[in-house]
Amino acid sequence: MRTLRFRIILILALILSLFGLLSIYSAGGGVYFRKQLLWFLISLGGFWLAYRTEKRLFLTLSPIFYIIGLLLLIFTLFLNRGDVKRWLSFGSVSIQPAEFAKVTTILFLAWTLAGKKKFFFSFSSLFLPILLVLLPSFLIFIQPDLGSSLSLLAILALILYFKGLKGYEIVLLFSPLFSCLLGLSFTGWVIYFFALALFLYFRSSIVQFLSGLGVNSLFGLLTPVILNSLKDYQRARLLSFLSSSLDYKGAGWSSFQSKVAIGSGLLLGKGYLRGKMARLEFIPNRHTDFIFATIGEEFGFIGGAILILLFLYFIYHLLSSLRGLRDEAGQLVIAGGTGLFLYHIATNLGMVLGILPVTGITLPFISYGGSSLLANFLLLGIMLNFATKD
Amino acid sequence: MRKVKVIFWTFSGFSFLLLLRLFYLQVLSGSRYSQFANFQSIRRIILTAPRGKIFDQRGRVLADVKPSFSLSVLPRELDSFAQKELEKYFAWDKNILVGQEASYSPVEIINNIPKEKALELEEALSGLRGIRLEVKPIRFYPYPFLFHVLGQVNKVSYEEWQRDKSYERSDFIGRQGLERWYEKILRGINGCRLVEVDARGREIGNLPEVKEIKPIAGCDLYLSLDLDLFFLADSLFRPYQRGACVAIDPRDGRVLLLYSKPYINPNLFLSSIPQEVWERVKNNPQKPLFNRVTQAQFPPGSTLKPLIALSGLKKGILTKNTRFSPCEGGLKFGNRYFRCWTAHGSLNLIQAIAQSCNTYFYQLGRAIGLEDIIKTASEFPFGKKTGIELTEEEGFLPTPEYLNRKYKGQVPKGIVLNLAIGQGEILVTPLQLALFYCAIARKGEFFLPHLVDSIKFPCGVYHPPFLDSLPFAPLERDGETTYVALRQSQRINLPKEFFQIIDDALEMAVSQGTGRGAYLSEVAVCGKTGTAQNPFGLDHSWFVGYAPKDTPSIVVCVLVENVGKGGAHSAPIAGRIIQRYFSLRRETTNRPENRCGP
Repeated sequence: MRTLRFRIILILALILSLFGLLSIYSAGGGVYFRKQLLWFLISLGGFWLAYRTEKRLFLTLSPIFYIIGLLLLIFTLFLNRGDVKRWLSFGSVSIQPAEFAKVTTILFLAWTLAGKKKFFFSFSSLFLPILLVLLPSFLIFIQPDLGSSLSLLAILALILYFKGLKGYEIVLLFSPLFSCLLGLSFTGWVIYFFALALFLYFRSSIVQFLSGLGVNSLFGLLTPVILNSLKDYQRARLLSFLSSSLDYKGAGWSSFQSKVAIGSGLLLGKGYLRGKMARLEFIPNRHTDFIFATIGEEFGFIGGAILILLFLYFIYHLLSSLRGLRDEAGQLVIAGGTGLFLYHIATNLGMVLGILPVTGITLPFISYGGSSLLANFLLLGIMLNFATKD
Repeated sequence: MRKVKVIFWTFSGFSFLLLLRLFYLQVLSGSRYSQFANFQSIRRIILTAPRGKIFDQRGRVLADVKPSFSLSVLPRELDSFAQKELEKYFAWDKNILVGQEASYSPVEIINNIPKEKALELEEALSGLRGIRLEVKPIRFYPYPFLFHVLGQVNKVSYEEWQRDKSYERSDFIGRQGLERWYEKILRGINGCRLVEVDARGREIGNLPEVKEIKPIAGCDLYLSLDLDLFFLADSLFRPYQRGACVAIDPRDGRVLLLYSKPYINPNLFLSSIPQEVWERVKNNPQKPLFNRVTQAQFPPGSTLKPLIALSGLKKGILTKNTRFSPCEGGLKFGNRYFRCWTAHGSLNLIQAIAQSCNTYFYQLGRAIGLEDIIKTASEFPFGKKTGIELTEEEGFLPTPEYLNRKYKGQVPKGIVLNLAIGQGEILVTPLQLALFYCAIARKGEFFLPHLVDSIKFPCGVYHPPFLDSLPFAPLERDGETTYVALRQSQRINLPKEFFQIIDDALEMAVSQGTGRGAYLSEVAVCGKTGTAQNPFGLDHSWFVGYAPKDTPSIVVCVLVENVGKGGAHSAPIAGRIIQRYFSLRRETTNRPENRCGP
């Protein structure tokens, strides 16, 4: 059963990657295709290495990995000039340390939390894991890359969930953050607040219900108050900082073009290499973040739906491998990794289809980008290592 | 495990949402999006951001923005008939379309069309497809004599547009002066809107799906310059062909006047001009593109004498009463005779500066020696850039190593004599000379010159990130934020008494000496004349000075080219400028404050 699952997951990842390579060729052309092919081969090597290495080693070395990850993030901030500091260049190769920091954070979190007997929804239990996540998350946030910094919180959420926190406790923990973000729009926040109240009313104790709502209204109101109390130039600076990670200027534009590309694909698509929109350079990042627009245009609803279902099936098997797993550290690694994949798939597809804001988040295995592909395969190798060799 | 199920079903729910959305986009509204997909039915109209304005210290507009007409074409819709019709009115260069053949934004082909012509065109071309008449903001310079400060704007070139895609092909870019230095701040951010077009090419209205992005105007610059002084300088220079004049407030380095003649009218370069016109301007022997205040490099002549005196005082071989052998019209040195302009007799230091006696300074220079003079000079802003926000030259201050190399180890002894009267191996720009006198006026301290006092940007909308890299600090005043220039000063390691001696001598030079042309009865002017020797024609005339003596608030440096020796031509100009400066100041302080209301 375990080897069967291993094969299914690996084959799914390979199919997705090939899907990606074909689409990159269509959207970006031969140069990007060849580069990505090279990275794909490297990633396969990385996967094999991660799978064959003694799994305990990942845990015992995780503090070192974690620190290296942080150092790389700090180097990225200091060695780059300009407004956007996301890449580290070594000669002609540049990597995105944030992609690897996500993996090292998963390992280190799993290592610190595994084996701890008592774990409750309390300050003393939650302080350390939250701190460990906020460090890299903050370093990524100021790059600035809001999308990636939030992905670390998705990892934290799933790891805490499988470590023993209850569902409503997770909601309670993360709700102030959403209140903060949604505080920018009043109606958005009100809807969110009522949904939250309803959920907590049925799930949590009366004390938690009241304190949760209190904290949320505080945070929801705090955002506009803080924003208004800022001096004009400070507010302008803050907004322009956020805008560089939220694609403020082209927001409506690139998401509209992506919608046109996908919409014009109709049911069956225009056929491989026939996508006009994506090839005419209308869409920014058409081979990276917006790759799904090309897929939707060329393969139509059928192709897009198959891709979404493939991702669903992929996630299903990752989650199923948690069943009956005795090694707690392994459980947490797989939970965190699944959280990362979940977040990437959901935010990227949501963005391309125009239901979530535009952030620079890649579609796992599909989008162009060496760091992202390698990090994904390394993570998958480690997860399968824990899943099959229990 | 229950938790696995919870996560899986949550994600399944979201995937179902994505599938629904995909279905909606591709199947339910697919036909609508397909119609957009060839972009025949959409136009992207760029909303050009107005460039930031530039004001003088009293809020008068020096660089304005006005509406203008321009003609654009849509390359994919323009048929040969329309092209022919267009050519009846304009001989336009089709190269402008290179790289934009597939563009769904109109491509501007002619800009800055006069209003009458625009109206005529609108009538003539209205029936044609793929031609658009647009109104957009364009730069306007009311005062051409500010060209050397403001510079000008031009269309971006093809290469620049390729390199930096944040520019539209029709955008302007700052070329010289402040327009270039503050380009990122001044340019603003273009907006855009998407317009739906019907089958006959008529624009129906904005596309409902995409919000119109409003353009954001560039930041406004407030300069320390005073427009009145420019008017005066321009009229004072009327008899002369070439020259320069700069005035600085020594208390903070604010530049009050920066005038260079000749200049061009920057408005002429806003629309595309024929290449030969541009060539003519560039090859004009009068060099109208050359900013003489920051780029002209000449020997300072006698205006350098205070520096020689300071070196002597520093070395301890000189007091204000020191006398050398009396001047008999020159000094024989080796087998050469070094001239003075008259026979002065025996002078002390103060008199020697006031009378500008060369013989005195030949002997003083010899006594100090080359190295010590150069060492003192390098404390002042000679031979290096001043950091003003314009293109500038470094001037030239020889180092002992340079001289050794040049003369192969045997530096002729006459060099130091020439240097002592500011000739030969040393070159300064008028701005550097003015800064040197700022240091004298402030008795050993000068501020780096700065043209922009403050920057204002459209509040709450956008914060230009490059603002952080400039030496400006935010200041909140009456609910408005301005970025105010930070002042940087440099101290010179010499005692104040030395400067006091120079100060007295410079006052005497104006009241009784060579600089009488700058004398004013109402305020004590200190200053020094000079001659920049010119091997190619008549010498250039220098005057540099400051006022009032006790609390100097203006330093003026004037250069008039090819009018002969001494300060006869430059000193009166400086005097008039200083006079006007103080009369303007009295006007502003005496004027009752303007208040709103009854």
